[in-house]
Amino acid sequence: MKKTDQKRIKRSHGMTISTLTKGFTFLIMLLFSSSLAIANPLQAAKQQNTVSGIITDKAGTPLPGVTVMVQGTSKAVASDFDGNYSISASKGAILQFSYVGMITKSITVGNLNKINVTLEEDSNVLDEVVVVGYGTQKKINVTGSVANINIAEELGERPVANISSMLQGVLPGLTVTNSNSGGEPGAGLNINIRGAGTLTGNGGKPYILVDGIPYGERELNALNPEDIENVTVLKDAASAAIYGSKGAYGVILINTKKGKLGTNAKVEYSSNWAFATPTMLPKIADSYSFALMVNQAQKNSGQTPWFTPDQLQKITDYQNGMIEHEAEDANGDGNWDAGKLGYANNDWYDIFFAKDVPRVKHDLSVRGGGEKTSYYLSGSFFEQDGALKFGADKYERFNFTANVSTKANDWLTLKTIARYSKEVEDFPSGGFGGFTRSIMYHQMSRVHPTSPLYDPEGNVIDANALRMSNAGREITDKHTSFFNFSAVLEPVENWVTTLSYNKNIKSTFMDREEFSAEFTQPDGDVVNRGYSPEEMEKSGRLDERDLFNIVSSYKKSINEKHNISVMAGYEQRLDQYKKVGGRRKQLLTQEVPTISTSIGDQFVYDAEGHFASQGIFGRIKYNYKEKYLVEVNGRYDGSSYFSEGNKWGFFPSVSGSYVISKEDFFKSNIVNTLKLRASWGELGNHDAALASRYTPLMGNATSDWLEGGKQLVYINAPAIISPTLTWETVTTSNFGLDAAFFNNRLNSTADFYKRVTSDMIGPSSVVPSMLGTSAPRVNNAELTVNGWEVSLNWRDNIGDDFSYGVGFNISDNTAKITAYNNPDKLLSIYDQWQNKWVTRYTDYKLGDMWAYTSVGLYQTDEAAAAGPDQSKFRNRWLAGDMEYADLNGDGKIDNGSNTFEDHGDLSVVGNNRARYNYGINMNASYKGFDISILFQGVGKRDYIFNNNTNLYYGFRGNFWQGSYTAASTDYWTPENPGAFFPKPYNTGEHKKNTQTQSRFMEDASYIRLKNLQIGYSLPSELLEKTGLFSSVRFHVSGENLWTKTDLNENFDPETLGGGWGDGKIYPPSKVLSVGMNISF
Amino acid sequence: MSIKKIFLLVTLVCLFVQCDDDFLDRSDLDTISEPSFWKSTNDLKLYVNRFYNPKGNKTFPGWNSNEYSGGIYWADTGTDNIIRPTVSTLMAGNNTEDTGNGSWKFDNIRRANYFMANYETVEADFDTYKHYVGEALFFRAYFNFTMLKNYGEYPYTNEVLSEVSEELNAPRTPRNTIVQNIIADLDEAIGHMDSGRKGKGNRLSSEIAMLFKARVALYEGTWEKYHAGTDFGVSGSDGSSFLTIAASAANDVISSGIYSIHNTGDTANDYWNIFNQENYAGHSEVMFWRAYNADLSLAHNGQRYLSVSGGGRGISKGLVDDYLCTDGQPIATSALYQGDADLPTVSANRDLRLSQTIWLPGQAMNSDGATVLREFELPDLDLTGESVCVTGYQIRKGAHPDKKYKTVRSGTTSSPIFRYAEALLIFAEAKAELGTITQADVDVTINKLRARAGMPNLSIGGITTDPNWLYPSLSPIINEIRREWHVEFAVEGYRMNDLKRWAAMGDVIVGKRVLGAQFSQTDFPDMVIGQDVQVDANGYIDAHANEVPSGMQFVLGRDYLLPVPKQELTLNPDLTQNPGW
Repeated sequence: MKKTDQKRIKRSHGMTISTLTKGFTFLIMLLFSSSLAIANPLQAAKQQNTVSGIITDKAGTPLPGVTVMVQGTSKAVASDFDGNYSISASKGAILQFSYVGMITKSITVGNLNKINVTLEEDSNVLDEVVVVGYGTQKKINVTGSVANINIAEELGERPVANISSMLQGVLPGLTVTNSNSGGEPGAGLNINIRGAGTLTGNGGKPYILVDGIPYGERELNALNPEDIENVTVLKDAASAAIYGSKGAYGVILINTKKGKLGTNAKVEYSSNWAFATPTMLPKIADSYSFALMVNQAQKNSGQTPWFTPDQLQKITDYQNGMIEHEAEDANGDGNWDAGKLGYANNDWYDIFFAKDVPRVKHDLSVRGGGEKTSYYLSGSFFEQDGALKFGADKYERFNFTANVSTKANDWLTLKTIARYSKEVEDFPSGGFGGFTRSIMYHQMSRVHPTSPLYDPEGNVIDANALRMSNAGREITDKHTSFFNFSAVLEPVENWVTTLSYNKNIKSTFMDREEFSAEFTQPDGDVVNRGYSPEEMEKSGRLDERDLFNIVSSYKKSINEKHNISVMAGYEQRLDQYKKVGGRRKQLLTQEVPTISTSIGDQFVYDAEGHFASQGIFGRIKYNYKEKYLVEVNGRYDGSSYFSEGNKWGFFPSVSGSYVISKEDFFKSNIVNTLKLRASWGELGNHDAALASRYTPLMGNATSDWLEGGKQLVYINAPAIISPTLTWETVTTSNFGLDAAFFNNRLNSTADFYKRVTSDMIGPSSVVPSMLGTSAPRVNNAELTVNGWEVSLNWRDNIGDDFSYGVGFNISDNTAKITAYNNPDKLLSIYDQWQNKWVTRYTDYKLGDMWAYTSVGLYQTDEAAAAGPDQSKFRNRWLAGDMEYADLNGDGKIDNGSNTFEDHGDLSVVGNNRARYNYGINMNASYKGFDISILFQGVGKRDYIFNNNTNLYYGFRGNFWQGSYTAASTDYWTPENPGAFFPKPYNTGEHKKNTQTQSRFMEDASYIRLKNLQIGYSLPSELLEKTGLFSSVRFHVSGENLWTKTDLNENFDPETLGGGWGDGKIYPPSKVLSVGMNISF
Repeated sequence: MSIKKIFLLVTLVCLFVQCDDDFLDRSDLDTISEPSFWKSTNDLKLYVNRFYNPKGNKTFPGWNSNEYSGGIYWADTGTDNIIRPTVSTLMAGNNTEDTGNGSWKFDNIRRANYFMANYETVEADFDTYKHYVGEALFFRAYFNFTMLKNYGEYPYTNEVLSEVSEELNAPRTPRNTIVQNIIADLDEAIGHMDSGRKGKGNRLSSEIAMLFKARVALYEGTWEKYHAGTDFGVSGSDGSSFLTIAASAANDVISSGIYSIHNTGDTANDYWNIFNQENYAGHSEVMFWRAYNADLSLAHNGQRYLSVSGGGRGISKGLVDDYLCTDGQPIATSALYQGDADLPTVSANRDLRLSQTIWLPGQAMNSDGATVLREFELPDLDLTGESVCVTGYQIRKGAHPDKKYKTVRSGTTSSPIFRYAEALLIFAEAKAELGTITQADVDVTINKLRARAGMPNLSIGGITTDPNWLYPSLSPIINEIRREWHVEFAVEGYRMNDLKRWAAMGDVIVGKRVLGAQFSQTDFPDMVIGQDVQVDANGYIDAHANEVPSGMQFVLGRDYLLPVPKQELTLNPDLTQNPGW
């Protein structure tokens, strides 16, 4: 289909529901009539014998539910609870025994009527069945780009809080990174598939479905990782197109554990005790180095010393243990107030963060099934203490799950899933002045080493410590319930229709205390470091999500050659939320912190929103002998995010594959499987950030202005909106290769793709500020991502006792803006929707950093005077200051017109995107012992810290905003001419030397030992004697045990961000755990 | 059998699929949208309310909520009135082409234009809402004046522009045209707005608009007069037309008769008390002010500086020297002048506004009701950072000693925004610049201010020549009126604009040192001259001696206006850059 045609369809007017219903009924009828036509079984009426036997696995355990089929007919039976089967078949007929996870076996019926069969486990991952959009499929038959992992089998026991953490580094093309909450207990992670997707809104988030119901990235925290069976990632458009306007940036399908018909109840209990320690904390300078550094900066700025010789002496004396206390009432005015009165030697990060904080997890589950009903029930408790020493933080989670499925009769199966979780997040409220807790990490970064924690009586007087421990808590309770009820109908064999209704209810209750936090001055004055006035805030939010879908599919195999399946479906979704909250000042007592027991002014607020979507979709698959495969998907999808006429769009995809290894001519002892895949498809990206943005909205707010003692309320002017705003179109072409070698011991997959986000939302143009607002967003930009992924897995065993495996996966992509309405190619433009300066112009490669090139530090004033004109940054240039390279030779350091054509002395010095994300895993088992190791890393990343980053530069032009780290003591003085950092200034002058430049470009690549676990399972002979347990395994496991990076020592390479600037973030943890799993 | 099952299935499907045509129509539930607005008088009020300090932003000077600063009493920082330990970037001549990039902003102008383009759809009688139209016009004028002060010229518009408007590529509008537009808006606003103390002085009124009009006109009138013949001037104009407007607008405020100088006869405190009150409702002089409330978290930390420490600032010797002696004579000629040895001597026999502007020993600095807990003794010369008083003259104006204001975020002393005294000085200055000032004019203006401080009257005919006049080439009366601005509006944030409009940076700033008090080794025995404190040859504190050894370096051909951001010059090729940049 030509592009223009698609656009015409997409822009056409919205389809009403009655047309939808008609269309759907038509589809059903079509399926129905075709099924009638093919439903007559082909009967072969030869001499029939009854063949029977027992089917077992290698260990001799009977296998129930194995499909036994007479090849070439539709005749099939399933083995019973004890593995017995019985089927009528003529002599010479071929019986085919198939069972998920086992190698299918074919046996020709001879003279014997009793055939016992032993099925072997399938070690060839390509024969696995994987979950795909609205169905499952044998992996060998997948034509799109799909990666999957079995959580329990491949990742084992990891002492992590959520499924997101477990997915890091294990699937090529899927990257999991820390969010701005860093390592906080209960923090969510950022998940991305194949790199930058779009430059607006959420930046291109994957669509996450748990058992078919959408989950937000953060909501994954509510899941118990133990309940998860497997995870599938749909990466290209062909595999995700069935999700229409939501799957543009990939889909993550998470499937939970279920029971199996005809299996004995299996009870599993596991528990895990862990201890966590921050991976790294900034290393603060000692008090004396700090004082000298500050005095030097004062001197460089032409100011008098901050610390007098007397104070320096005290600092030294305290370090040498000659003074007992950290502070004194120096002025005799009864005042501890000024930090400079202390002469402590405090390592504040050591003071604020604890080591070896505990985590505990208990899981209990049972699963099994009778003849008709299968079930999985589980309960879990997880408790994670945080690392804050003052005002200890905490996260708790309770989970309950029930998955039950029952065959009502031979054509109807009913299933239900009920899942509930309660999470409790308990943190200090942040401490003062309307701030939330993210400011704590900023405050910690700028406390002076000399500042006292205690007064001579041992009372805490440090403002941050007081705030964290006494200024109140912010406690959030989250209740997440998820219900699914579905009916699977199979009125005609192989025509399966599933009606499914899903409801997700999330309620969040937030309880926020803003308390005072007081200490007493020597003169008896009480100083409040916390909130003033005290205030209580409570809010409740209810999120509801209703998802209904009906999916009908039919498959047919003709002569074992032509395999056809068709699927059609309808889905509708409604998301709604309501929130109400209130605040009231002036608590009567901290003992009963409620709104009811406050007496000050009160403030009530609410919020409400909704979103709806509808779509019909269909899929046709055909393969010839599982050798040539082709698949076509389409979805016609409507979204309430857009205006009338822009709501509906059609998203098609096509994919095919060719399994060369099935060709007769392909005879290889080395290559067992070789498959080529190709796909193309289009999806839409509609983003919550764009909801209702086609109406000019005028928000209201409360002013800081008092009129006659009352706060004014006001209405804002609306932004300019574009009435034609619609989704972004994401077109992905994918080419892949799957191969297995050496008796399937080596499996490999490679994918190459190009993803173009066209009609991407950008400013209609970059306009002069005179407009007075931002230019409207229109669908006018384009982003192109090129990338590849490779994974290799080797599995083998030596003898019966020793088996091992090694896996490696790596992925990379580059993203380039291929259209952006910035005709002057300004190197930085202001993005009013994100409130920051960004670089966006046609042909800009994302992550490229325009920076000055550093020559080095001037060693003499004369050299500085003879250098190029650097007056753009400051008039004064002396020894110890930075010399920038005059790249364009005009004698003047500047950024020209700051455009691509005239960029002065700027050049692209590096790229700050994380490239070559990789994971390496190794595992081995010998008798009862097993070991597994997972490394994860980033192969290449350049990083230049913004010149406000106090934890990097130390000084940042404002004395109180500096961070005086050990690394920042390497500053220039005549005695230290080879210093890394330039001469420090205690004023804004500092920034002349810390312009974005090549000298400060850090190598932020890293490799990290994500997980190491060693387990021991008790021998089965021993367990049999006990007669109680079927398996017992003990294990020790560790997370983030080792890291190699060249990055500045104050930063964790995985946690560069932070709401208040780089590094000002809760550190991630190194975790050691012991645990055991018992099943019976 | 199959048929029945299929029938059942189809029935189920029909039951399940919602038959709701509006399923995808989901408008915003919790936000007002444009089509539902602009209906009532109250809508207009709600809209203009935004222009009064919106959340976290400042339209008018004064503390933001929870702000850590001395408020307007620090606003002269970086002029010759107040200095910090380090010299200001502008005064060091260190402004760069990126300075002030964030000030090239048109968002508020757009908001005001948006009001003007929409208010007429309100279905009510014009008289019921004309006051809010007046307010919107006032604010449009106010925001344009801010742009004028920063950039001189910029593309002026009173339209709501779209992203494709031709005007986005317009050249800069001549500054006198801009000022004419501002004055036209103000004239219309004055006609529409209510008179008197609207909203207890927390809301604009026509008299405030008159005073603002006078301020704008005086600014432009003196700018055109004193920058004439330079790159900053307006060719062919001497500013007299604007000076005439200034005098008449100021006179309108005076003759409204609503306001008067706050004078209870307490010459030692009346002036000081204008600046540290909580409530100015009904105040005779403060016409418009910003209120605070600690219970609403709308309080400041101003008293934690002003009535506690030096605040990292200090008042200059230059300002202190401009206060006359009680005989009406300048210190250079008065026999009453005692010298500068210490604070009691400096303040002896001086205009009482001095002791109400700088802290003197014995003044109550901390009190609990009537109980004095701490008296001021010495300036905080020996402290550092935000506590130091860098010149030895510590800011007292705006301070309130009461202990209750000193807790974090509990400062609720209000911040005056417009006060009547300004109308008097504008009237006097405009008339003087026009050459039409009479003794009667002086008596109803300057002499009212002097009388409040117990000072003798200024007599046009009897002005003593002051060898230290800051503007020696100008007439005695102009020098005395400028002295009155300097003294009466000391450290209230007027100084920078005054020096700019008078083109006085050459006379007052360039190459000059901003000195402080005489350093007293006996008061500060631990401080080492040359190390902890710098002093000049006469023993006066010279805080910037090391940093700017050859005095301040304001660049005369450049720094009167900010540079237009380079980005804007690229986006609009018809835009031109300011002189010197």
